[in-house]
Amino acid sequence: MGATEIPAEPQRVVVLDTDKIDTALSLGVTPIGAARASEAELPGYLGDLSGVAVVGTTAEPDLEAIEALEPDLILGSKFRQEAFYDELNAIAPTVFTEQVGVTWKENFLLDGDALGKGEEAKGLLEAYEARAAEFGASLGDALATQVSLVRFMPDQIRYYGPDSFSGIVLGDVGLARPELQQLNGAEDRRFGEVSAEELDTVGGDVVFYCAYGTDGEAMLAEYTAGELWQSIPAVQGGKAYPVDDEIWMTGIGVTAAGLILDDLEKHLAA
Amino acid sequence: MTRTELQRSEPRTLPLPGRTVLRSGDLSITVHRRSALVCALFLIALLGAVTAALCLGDTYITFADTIATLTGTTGYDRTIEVLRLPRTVLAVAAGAALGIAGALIQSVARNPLASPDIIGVTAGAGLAATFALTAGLAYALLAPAALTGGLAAAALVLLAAARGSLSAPRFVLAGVAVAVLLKSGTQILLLAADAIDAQRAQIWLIGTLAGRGWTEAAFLGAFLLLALPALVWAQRALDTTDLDDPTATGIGVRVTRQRIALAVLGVVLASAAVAQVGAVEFVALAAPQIARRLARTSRPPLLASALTGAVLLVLADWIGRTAFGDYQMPAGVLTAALGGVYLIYLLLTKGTRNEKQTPGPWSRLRLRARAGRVRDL
Repeated sequence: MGATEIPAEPQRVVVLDTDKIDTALSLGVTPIGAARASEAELPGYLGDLSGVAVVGTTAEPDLEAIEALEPDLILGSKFRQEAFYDELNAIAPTVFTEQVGVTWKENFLLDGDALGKGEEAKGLLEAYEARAAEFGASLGDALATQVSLVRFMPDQIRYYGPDSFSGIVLGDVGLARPELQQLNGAEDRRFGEVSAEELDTVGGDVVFYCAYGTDGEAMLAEYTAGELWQSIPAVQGGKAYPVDDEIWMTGIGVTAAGLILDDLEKHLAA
Repeated sequence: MTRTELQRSEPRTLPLPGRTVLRSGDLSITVHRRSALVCALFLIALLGAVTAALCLGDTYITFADTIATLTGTTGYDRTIEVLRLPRTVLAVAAGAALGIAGALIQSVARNPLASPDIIGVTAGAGLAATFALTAGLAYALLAPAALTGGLAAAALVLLAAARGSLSAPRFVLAGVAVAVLLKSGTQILLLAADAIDAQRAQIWLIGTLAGRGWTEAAFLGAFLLLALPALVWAQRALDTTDLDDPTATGIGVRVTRQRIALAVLGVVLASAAVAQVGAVEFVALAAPQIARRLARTSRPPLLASALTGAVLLVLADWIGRTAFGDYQMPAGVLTAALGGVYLIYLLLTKGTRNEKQTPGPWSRLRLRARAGRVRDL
C-alpha cells in the first residue's frame, strides 16, 4: 500500500487483526487499542487485556475510537481493512500485511519491524522453530502419529490443512497428517469442508477439535455427541482433545504457536 | 358591455387546487404548495441530520468548532474532514440518488413496491460485487463491477419487459424474476467463498458508508450533475405516468418511449448509488412513498424524494456509527429500520385521508386540459 514513515519506537499502537495482538504482546508491546473478531471478544490466552481499548471489529473498525486514542502506529491486514487505509493512514502511519495464516511468520517479522523490534521478532521466531524441531525429535516414532484438526463453524465443519496456522505448527514439529487433511493438489491448502454426514472420514490417530463462536460451540456439542463422531477410532480410543479456538485458529502468532506446542506436548508425549 | 369586460378580466386558466401559478411572460409554472413545504421541511431536516453527523461522534465537536473547521483550521481537521465530512457528503448524494431512482421507477411501474431493490438493480450490483470480493479482484474494481452488474441486470429487466409496450405489471414481474435469479447466484458465491471474503461481501450487501469518502462522493456527485437536465425533463414527463396507457397516448404521449427513458434514468441513478455505498435497501422504496404521502401528491415528487432519501441515509449512517458502542452498524441495517417504521406510521395514520385527497388520473387530466399548457414543478 505504498511507503509509510513510521516512528522508530512506536509507543501507542493500535492493532486491527487478531494475529497482531499476539505479535505485539509477544514482543512486549501492549497495544492501546485492538479490534476484536466479530464473533468474539479479545483473546483470553494473552493474559489481562483490560487495559486495551476495543476499537470495533476487524471487519468494521471504529475509526473515531481509533482516532481518539491518538495512536502513533496502526497495524492491520490488507484483505480486511483495505477500504479504510486512507482514513487510517490519516490518523497514524498504517502498516498492512497482505495475507493471514499462510504467511504468519513473514507477517510477524514485518510487524516486528514496524514495532521497532525486528531483532526480537527474529529471535522469538527462531526460538519457537528450534523448540518445535526439538519436540519433534523427542517424539521419535510417535512423529508418525497422524494428527487431525477439526473445527466447528456456525455453518460448516472444517478440517485444517498444511497451510493453515495450526497446520504449519504441526508441520514445524514434523507430525504426520491424515491423507484427506494434506489437501494434496488443492489450490488452497488451508482447510477443507467436511459434510456433517461424513464426519467420520476426517481420520487421524489423534484429533484436536475446537469451535468458532457460540454458534460453533452449539455445533460442536451437537455433533460430538452424535454417532458418527463417536465412531471415529481416535474418539473411541480417547485420543480426541478439545482445544482453544483462540489459540489454534484465530490466535496466529508465536505466543499462540508456543501454546499449541504445549497442547501437543501434553497429549502426544508418551 | 359589462359581460365582455368580465370575460377579459377572467384569467386564462382556472385556479388549480393546492397550487400556485408563477408566471413570467409566456412561461408559467405551477408550484404544488404542499410539495414545496415538504421540500423546505426536509431541507431543514437534512441540515439538522448533517449537523448531527458532523458534530456528534466519539468526540463531541461544538457547532461553532465544526463551522470553524470547515472554513479554516482547528484541532478537529482530521475528525471532520477525513472521518465525518466525506461519508456524510456521500450519504447525502447516495440517499438523494436512491430517492430519485425510487420515485422514477415507482412512477413508471405505477407500483409503490417497484424500487431498485425489487426490480433487479440492487441484486445485479450485489452479485457483481460479491464476485469481485470473493474472487479476489482488486479493490479498485469493486465499484465499477457493481455499477456494471446493476446496469446489466436493469438492461435484462428492461429487455424482458420491453417486448410489446413495457406495461407496468410486466416491468415489475420481469424485475422480480431477474432479482430472485441474481440473488440465488449471490448466495451460491457466498456459500462457496472463504469466510473472510464472505463477511466482507455480506457487509457490502447490507450497504455501508464506512471506509468510503470523497472518491465515491465525487463520482456520484458528478453523476447527479450530469443527470440534472434529464431530471428536469423527467419531472415534467412523470405527470403523465399515472394516466392509463390509452389516455396518455390520446393526449399525445409516446408512452413506451417515455416510460423506457424514465426507467433507464432511474436504474442508472440507482446503479451509480449502489455501486458506491453497497446494496442499501429500502431507501429507494421508502423515501418516495414518505415524500408522496407527506406532500399528498398522486405520484412521488422527485425533489422531496431526493431530500427524504438523503435524510434517511445520513441519519442511518450517523446512528450506525455512534449508537452501538464499539460496534459499527452498517447504514443499510438502519435505513430499513428508520424508513420502515416511519412508512408504517404514515400508512397507519394518514392512509385513507390521503387517498381521498389525491386526485385520480381523470380529474387530473381534466385539470390539465382546462389549465392549458402549464408546467408542474
